[in-house]
Amino acid sequence: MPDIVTQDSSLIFDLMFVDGDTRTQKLKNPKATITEQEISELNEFIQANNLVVGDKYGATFGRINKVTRRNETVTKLDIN
Amino acid sequence: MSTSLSIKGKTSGGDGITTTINYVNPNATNEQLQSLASAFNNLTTNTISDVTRIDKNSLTESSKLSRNITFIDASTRQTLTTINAADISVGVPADESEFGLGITYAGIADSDTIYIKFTTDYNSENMLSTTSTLFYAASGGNPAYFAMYMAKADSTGTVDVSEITVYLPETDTYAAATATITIE
Repeated sequence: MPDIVTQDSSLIFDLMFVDGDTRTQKLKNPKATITEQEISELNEFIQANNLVVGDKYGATFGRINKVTRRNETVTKLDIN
Repeated sequence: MSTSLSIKGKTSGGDGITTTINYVNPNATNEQLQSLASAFNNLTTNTISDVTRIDKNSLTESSKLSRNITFIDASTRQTLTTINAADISVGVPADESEFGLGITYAGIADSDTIYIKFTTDYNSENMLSTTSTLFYAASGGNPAYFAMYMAKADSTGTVDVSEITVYLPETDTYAAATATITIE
């Protein structure tokens, strides 16, 4: 059988907290086009409603610091 | 401390998918959490069928490591220390597709890059990237801490991690081996 090749795409969010610490959030299958405004609106929504907190005591959310689109090609080799 | 959301749905191809949103405020209302789940999901091509709040207290210890954790100097490949498997446990929630493993090791600087290799009996495509950047800097004698999340395609609730190898950057100033394992 031939090798099986799949394409995986994900968004990696860098969530920054007020103490400077960052945590990562990953979303699979992002849309082909994501605008800066969409990220900004998500950021404002999270901040306005205090929906994100850190996993350390008293870790207050600061902002979405960075968003990275990661595209990976995964090849399952046919070894038989 | 934060909680998590489990978003179940389907990909554009019709396959089932579960997405976990971490670091969620446990005091948020269910309505707010539903909105948060939708806000994140709207950036994807997935559809939503269910959103569940995951209470950290619901984590159950369902797997113990069968091997030790080995810390290796990335430049010399020399083994720095080994944590006994008997002192390590990894909890996996029964209905979740992701779990977190936190490892602390005194002496890591915030600019260091840590490479972690997980060896399990799961297909490698179910694993997240095996590299992670240190998120928390060591200060005042407190150990550095970072968290790593692994995703697996199914949700049987058990993961047998046979080996965890942490590759530490080149340095000769590591503190004594006092690594501890915490469950995220």
